[in-house]
Amino acid sequence: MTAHGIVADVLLGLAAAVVLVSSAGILIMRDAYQKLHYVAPVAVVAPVIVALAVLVQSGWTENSGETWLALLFMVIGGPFLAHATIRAARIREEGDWRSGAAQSGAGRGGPQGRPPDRHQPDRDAGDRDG
Amino acid sequence: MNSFVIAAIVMLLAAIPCGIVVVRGTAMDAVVAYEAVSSIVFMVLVLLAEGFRRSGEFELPVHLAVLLFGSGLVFVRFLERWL
Amino acid sequence: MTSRRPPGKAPFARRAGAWLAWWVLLMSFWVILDDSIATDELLAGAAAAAAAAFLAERVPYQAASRVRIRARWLAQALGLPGQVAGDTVIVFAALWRRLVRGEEPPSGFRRLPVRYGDDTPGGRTRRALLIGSKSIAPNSIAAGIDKDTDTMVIHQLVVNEGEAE
Repeated sequence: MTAHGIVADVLLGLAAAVVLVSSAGILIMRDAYQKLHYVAPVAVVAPVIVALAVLVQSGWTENSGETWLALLFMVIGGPFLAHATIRAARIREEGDWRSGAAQSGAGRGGPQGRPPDRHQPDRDAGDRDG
Repeated sequence: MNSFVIAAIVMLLAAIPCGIVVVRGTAMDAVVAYEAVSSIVFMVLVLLAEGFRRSGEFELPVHLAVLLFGSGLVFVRFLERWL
Repeated sequence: MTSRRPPGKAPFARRAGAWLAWWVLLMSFWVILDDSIATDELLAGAAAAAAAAFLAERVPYQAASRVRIRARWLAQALGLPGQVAGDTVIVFAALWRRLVRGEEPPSGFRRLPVRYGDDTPGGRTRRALLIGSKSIAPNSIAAGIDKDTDTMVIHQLVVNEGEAE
């Protein structure tokens, strides 16, 4: 077992652990807003670790070049996909993505800080724009 | 069987909880889980291509990485406006 | 179907320069993916890159949108890897507390002060980069920048006192 092999194995183990924990988070967390926070480790963190493992194993070859090219698309597109998803979830639930958000420094949680339950009356109607 | 193939198998197992959410969750929960599964599939393809030492199979994850973004946006746009 | 066009025609030299820049980038991708410098392969790649560069140049022209990036914005991206690593620990710790103690994470939407800016290409690019940089780390996802209040609406899994730039 070479040093490269050991480093690659450690990286692969780390990537697999990140994916397993994130997957558990997606299953366990309460709603789409909370679940979405566990997509970023799967879409950004783990692919970077996998790409590093491929680089350590193969060196700078066509394989690692293609992997890093694909990773570039993942890292650039992932955050904007998360942004579009949470915006769509907010519009779907509230009608406006701007409604109900607390100001910075206004404290944690609270009725304005939490997205309303689907089965409860909308308490943030007064904050809705337009 | 080398460590890359083992890691791919472990990641496929990690797709099971996401699959449960796709089946049993709300539409928005399912889209979130779908985005995670797409990323897991991307990594599995890279790991299997490296594990089996097949250079030609690295092109599929490149295409998937591009299409993953577009497919997610399609679902998100439909759920935002029409479904 | 209507198409939006810029108020004045973009100079042909600028459009040609944009096409050439795209062609060079896409041809580089072709060479990386194809891993061959055989003449036939390079000719096929040149043709494919030319067609793709035409589309890449034409679509922003039709949409009347351009990208203007300032170097200092990219310099601020150097801190993102550390932020991503730190936020990954935060969200995993929140999951741990949920599993072990049954604690719901203190998640919610917040507004952070962010100047909306203008609707020039530089302004639009700046807002896009702000949203992308705020959404890449796991603990925060940006929903948008509100023009009326000069704030960015974000959702955090674990609400903290961080501020956007």
